[in-house]
Amino acid sequence: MIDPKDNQDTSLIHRTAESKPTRSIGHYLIGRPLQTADAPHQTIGKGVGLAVFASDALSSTAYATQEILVILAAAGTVAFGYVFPIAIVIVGLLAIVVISYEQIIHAYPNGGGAYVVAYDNFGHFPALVAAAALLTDYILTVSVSVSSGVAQIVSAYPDMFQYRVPIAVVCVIFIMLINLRGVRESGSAFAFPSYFFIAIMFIMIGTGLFRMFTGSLGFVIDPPEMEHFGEAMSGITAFLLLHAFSSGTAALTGVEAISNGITAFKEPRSRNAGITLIWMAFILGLLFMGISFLAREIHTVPSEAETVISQLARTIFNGQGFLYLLVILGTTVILILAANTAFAGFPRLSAMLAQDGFMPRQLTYRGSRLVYSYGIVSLAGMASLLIIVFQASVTRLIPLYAIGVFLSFTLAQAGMARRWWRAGRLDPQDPTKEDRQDSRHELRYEKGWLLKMLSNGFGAFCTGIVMLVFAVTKFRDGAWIVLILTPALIGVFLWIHRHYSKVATSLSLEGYGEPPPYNVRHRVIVPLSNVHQGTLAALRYARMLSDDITAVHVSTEPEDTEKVRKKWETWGRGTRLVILDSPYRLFLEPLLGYINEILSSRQANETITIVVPQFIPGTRLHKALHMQTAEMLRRELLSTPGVVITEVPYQIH
Amino acid sequence: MLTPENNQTEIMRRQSDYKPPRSLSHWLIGRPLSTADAPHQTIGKRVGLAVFASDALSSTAYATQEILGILSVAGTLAVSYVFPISIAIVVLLLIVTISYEQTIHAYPGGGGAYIVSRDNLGESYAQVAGSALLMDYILTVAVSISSGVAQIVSAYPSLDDYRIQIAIAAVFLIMLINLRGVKESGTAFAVPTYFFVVMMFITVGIGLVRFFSGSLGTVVDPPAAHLAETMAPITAFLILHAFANGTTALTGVEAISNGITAFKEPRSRNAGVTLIWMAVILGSLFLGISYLTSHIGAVYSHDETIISQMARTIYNGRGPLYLATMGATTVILIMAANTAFADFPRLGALAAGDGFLPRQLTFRGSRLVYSNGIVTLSIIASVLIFFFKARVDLLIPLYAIGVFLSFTLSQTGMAIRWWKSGRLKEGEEMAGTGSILRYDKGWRSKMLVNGFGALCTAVVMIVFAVTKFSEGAWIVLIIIPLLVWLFFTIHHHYKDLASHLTLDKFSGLPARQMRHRVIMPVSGVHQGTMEALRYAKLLSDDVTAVHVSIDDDETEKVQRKWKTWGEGTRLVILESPFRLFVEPLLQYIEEILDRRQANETITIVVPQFIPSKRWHTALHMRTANVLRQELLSKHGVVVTDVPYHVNLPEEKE
Repeated sequence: MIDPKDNQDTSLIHRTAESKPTRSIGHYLIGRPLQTADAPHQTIGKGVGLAVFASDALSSTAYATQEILVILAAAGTVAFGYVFPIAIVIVGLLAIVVISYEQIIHAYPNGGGAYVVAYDNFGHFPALVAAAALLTDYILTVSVSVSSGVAQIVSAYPDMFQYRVPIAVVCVIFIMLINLRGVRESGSAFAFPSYFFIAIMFIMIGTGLFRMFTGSLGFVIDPPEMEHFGEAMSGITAFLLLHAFSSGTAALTGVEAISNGITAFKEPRSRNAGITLIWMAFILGLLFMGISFLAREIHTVPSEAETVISQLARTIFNGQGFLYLLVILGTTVILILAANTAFAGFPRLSAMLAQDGFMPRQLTYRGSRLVYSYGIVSLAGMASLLIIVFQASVTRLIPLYAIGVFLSFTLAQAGMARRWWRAGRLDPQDPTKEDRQDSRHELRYEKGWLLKMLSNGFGAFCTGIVMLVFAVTKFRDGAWIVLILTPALIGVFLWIHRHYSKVATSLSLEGYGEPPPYNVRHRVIVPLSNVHQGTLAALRYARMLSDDITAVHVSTEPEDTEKVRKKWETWGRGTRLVILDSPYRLFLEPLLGYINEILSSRQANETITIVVPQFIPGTRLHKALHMQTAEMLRRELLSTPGVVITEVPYQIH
Repeated sequence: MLTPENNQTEIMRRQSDYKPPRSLSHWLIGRPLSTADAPHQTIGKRVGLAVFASDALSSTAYATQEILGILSVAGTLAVSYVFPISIAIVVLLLIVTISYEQTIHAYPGGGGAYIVSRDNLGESYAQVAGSALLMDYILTVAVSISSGVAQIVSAYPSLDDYRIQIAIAAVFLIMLINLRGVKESGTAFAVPTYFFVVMMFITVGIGLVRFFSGSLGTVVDPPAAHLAETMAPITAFLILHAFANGTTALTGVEAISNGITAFKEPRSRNAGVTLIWMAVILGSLFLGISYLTSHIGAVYSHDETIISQMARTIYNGRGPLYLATMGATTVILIMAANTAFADFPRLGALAAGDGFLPRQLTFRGSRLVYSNGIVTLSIIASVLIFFFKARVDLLIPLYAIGVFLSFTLSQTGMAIRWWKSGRLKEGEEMAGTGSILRYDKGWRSKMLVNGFGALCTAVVMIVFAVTKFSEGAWIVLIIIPLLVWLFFTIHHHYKDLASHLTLDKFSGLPARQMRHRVIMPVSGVHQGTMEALRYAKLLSDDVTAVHVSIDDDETEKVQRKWKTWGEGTRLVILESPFRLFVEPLLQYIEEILDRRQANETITIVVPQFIPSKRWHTALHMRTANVLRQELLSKHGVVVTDVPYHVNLPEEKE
């Protein structure tokens, strides 16, 4: 088995463990374990990638137009004419953001999106801001999308209302399980509903446009009652338009997902991810513009009672027929599937942060199906907690949403702008990379740097404004929670980072120098409560370690002590036995006091080992029948510097 | 500090000057007591009466009523049987008391029915008696507290919602007082007990004086009597049933025999005298109450107790003396729980000493009482109260069968003992398991008395079991065998363990081991690893470091560093394709174990990272702990923890 010829250096032996994980309930739930070498097969192509990463972005077409109309409604129906122009501006912004992310994908092929861009161009603090914003947002995405999906189900079956929280949590756990099966399987599972949504939406818009140009499309029949807020009709002000614009940018949420999840794609990763991003942007832009255009043409009104999509579908398909039902069904499913994008993005981003030492290292561990299992489970746990706390109510969760995305957009755009500026400083003749030590990514001179910088700078400016508008208008509805949560998260990140780097420096072998000389003296202490075969085995082991052995017995019951003493005379083989009288019937404290006394008089070259005879019960019931003093002793001794604890177990079979 | 105690230098004795530090528990239960203080922690006859008699005396509050309840089925005519039945019960009390008086002198170590059965009937009968008594003590606590709370609730009906909480709080209060030691709890509870005795004697005395002087009338305004719809005739079974119900007056008589060790020396004498006092008080109160009841025309009713009817007749209405009598009755009902708190831990410790219950029950806490037993009793009683919602009527049917089972067993045991003593010649002695048996002149008549007592108590037990079977007594008939089975399972485990560890016929371990292999798992190379390596090399020259490779980059680093720092030690790299850590390592160790020679010892040296703060543990993988758990259950592997403490810069100071 062990083949020393593997390499020349005899002190290194390489072997592959054959141990395969045993079959368990986990296999049944998430599939058989995958080898690390299988990782390249666990990637997805463009087709599945679009389904996994686009569902969040595409789902926003289901409500973005409505968001614009709601704001414009404050100025009366006249203002509805602005819907289409605003939509065009938003699509313009979408183009800028997408181009910028396309560049990010090629510049940073290991994923990480806004976090990596900010880290590389601004340093770790803005990067953490972006990361905190994104992580919060992913958790909210799961809670909001699952809650809204459940809300749709509940409105169909009102008597399920009291079970909406359990239903939502079960949904989260279900999506978690599918994601634990690996990105490939979850992608295939969720591809069909995503494409179904895209197809049915295109059919609806296509039919709508065709009927409009042939003149057979009328207006909404029986429009629902319009939502009125603000008693007095306000005029069409610039701020109103800005507000409507920023509300409509909800369509952009989810665009960042692909840039975070590049590692999930097949090689050539960047190319595949980039193409997927462009497809997604096209579909998103077309659907959004189509819906906005038709919504204005058929005079839909924003209402709590009926969504804009529903009004559109029943006008285009002449009533609530089969196609209408398919549209509504597709919309419901895509809203729930938006959660899946977060499940793809969150674990990867948190693994990256953990790698850099900003989150617990356990998050970098890939589970049996090669996904970051801890990240997936944490996301599901936190999202479920949010759902329980907010009682699966969408309206209470929505205000928390979207600020984080735009914060990360702004940072990513600004980071890219700075990158182009840095590229412009370089010598065009010298093709070598920039000489900067802290940069992990290479940077070359680019011809069009000025133009690119301006476009990214403009993008940063727009997304920054949208973020501010969000923060101001939604502040009282709950956006303040995000403004507290994000700094708090950053604090936690920095605290964790400090801990890891302190541990690393104090354990570092750099400048460790010569190890101290080998210890000359080895003292061994054997605590024993009784003399029997188990303790004698420990004693024999102790004798192998050193000649300087002290057995210690803590005397709580005089009769027991007498017995120990008598047996020791027969079996102790001349080893020194110290009997500690414990008048208060305590066991640990006198022993620890004795050990500390010895420690305090220890010489520099002396090692002290405590050999503890440890009874190992066969079953849990048996464990209850024994005092766990050995266990407690070990725990106490571990926190005493300078002693080594050796456990000599004895079992009965 | 160390003083060689005898000529053999190898045994040293020293006094640990460790005193438990002040803590919250001092404030709750008092400063710790030294084992040497045990003789001072005993009680005299007067306090003893208060501690151990409260259960028995409290039964006078309801025993007469129980008789009347059965007889009322046969109409008011049957009431005249109350007094004759009471006399028969007092005779039975006499027999039981005499038998326990003898038990106390024969078995001064305490244990009552348990010890008597163990000594004369065998181990399984002892366990039946033990389980019956332990169960009964638990029920005593639950019933008496619940009935006390029921009294409080009937006075303040608004507290009804908090019944369970009040009852559990009361249990914990009594628990705390008992944890302070028997002396303090005795003193605390002596006042209410004596107050009850005095009040009852005054009531009965005045009643008798007034009755014989002819000034005592009948109950004014008697409550509505509860009568059966069809009048039953006075049959022998009815009388027997009434008799059996009345014997509840006997519950608690066994208490003193179980708690002899709580008394001052001379223990047996003090306990015996206390028992006789108790029997005399109990008998005279019971007779007096029964006599007066049958002459003032008291009726059985759910609305008003017999005691209340009697007291208001004797005191001509509800004056202060009436109120004092009623208050004392309520308090004594709660105090009855205290007797169980005095006995359960003692009996539990006795059974644990014999290896039938977890050994932890023999541990005397800081105040020299069996703290674990006291806490166990309160927890189980609280659970019962919680499940039965502190309702007396649900708990009562479970009650008293256990006591009569133990009565029967102890009477039978004593009868057999007399029979055995009759087999002996004069002056001859025979050593029993717990006592010395001598010839007794009057053995024949004593045997007959105890035999008759056994018959009576057995009949009572059977009547209880039959009449209360469907109300819940069946639970007892299931629980007692289950408990006995559990006791024997525990006993089997301890015996098995002892036979494996015994040094009888132990030829000693094989000679000193020649070969020592050391295996050291390595996850990274740093100062902690170096420390562990240094220690491993101190143990043996045959050291193998094992690195489980999950991440190729990490493995590369470990290899590189090992070449610099490994001091030529062999490093085995185990490829783990499924990213498992513990399993490949265990498999490797098992492989080595399989090829182990007879004189070889294998030690696993585990570098243990010890974070300085508890919350830091969340940031580190706990693989070392998991590994240790698994390794300890392997036969013949010694596990050594080399802790490395990270002294973070700021904490150094």
